[in-house]
Amino acid sequence: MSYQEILALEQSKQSSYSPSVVDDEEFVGRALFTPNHIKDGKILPAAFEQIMSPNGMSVLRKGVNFDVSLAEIKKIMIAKQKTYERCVFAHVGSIRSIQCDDNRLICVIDTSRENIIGHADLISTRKVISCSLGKKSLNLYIRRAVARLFNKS
Amino acid sequence: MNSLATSIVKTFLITTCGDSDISTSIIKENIDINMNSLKIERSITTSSLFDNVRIELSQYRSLEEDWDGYGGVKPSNKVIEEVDFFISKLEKLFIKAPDAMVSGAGDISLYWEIDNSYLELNFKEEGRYSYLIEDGKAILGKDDNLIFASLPQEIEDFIYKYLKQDINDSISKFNNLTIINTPNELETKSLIA
Repeated sequence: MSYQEILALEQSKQSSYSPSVVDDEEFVGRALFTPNHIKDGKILPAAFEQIMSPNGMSVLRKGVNFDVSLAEIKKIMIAKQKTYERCVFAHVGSIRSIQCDDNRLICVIDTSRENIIGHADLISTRKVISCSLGKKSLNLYIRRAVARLFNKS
Repeated sequence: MNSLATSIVKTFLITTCGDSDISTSIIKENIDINMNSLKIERSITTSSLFDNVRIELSQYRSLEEDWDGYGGVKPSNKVIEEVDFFISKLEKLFIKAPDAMVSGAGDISLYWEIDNSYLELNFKEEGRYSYLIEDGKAILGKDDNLIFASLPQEIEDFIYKYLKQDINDSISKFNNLTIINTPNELETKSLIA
């Protein structure tokens, strides 16, 4: 998928369960289930490494059935004997503004599921853009930039 | 530094005091004791600070698959060992100790955050690391640096600028020796923290 094709995913609903595309003014939340990603009350950049994975990083839209969606996530995690730590939020417009050399680095896409209507994903464009940073150091830059936003809120 | 400081003080005292043998031996002893104390204090302080990051690193060995709930993989033992080796290299520089973090992809980072400046060293593949430096508006980074090679100049610059300050303070304080000599008596005070 090209850079433009990835950006285009934000312009239309990506799931039949989705009520709408994710708007810039929304907030999305990431639920955490390990204390290893929290230090001195702050979320560590390493917590956001999954953005770089092929399917991106799961988040929940705060304004779309959030409580029910979070409860469903918790149910899944408790079944795996994970302990809920907290949920952290960030402004979608700010996430979309993260750039390197005028290239947007993250797209926020609605990927609603039947039982988690508010599900969305943060996916990275890093593989299809050129940037002054190497791919791996760009990873580090992306997750630190995202961490700053989630810690701000 | 040892011999220079000793020489300077000895020269001053010989020219200003009476009994050069007694006065210089007293001063030298004080200087030696103080220098050793500074070294010991510095090495103990540095070692104990690095102990914390070592403890954190050792905890990563006991992570299990899916440790974060999102399919997180545990870091390989080889990567953990290499990070430990790198910590030993850093320790010898007498710098502020880093913090550590681990991601669900199995990589481990050592990082320092000083106000708005940031250095992260990331270890994922055996034998190499990548780094990110954010210093004001400057953003620098490079992939795949060899663990056993010298530190890149950019990292050295960052270390010198942000991570060695407290050591410079210690040296600066040691250099501020106050020497008081009165007739038939010699007293030396050193201002070493």
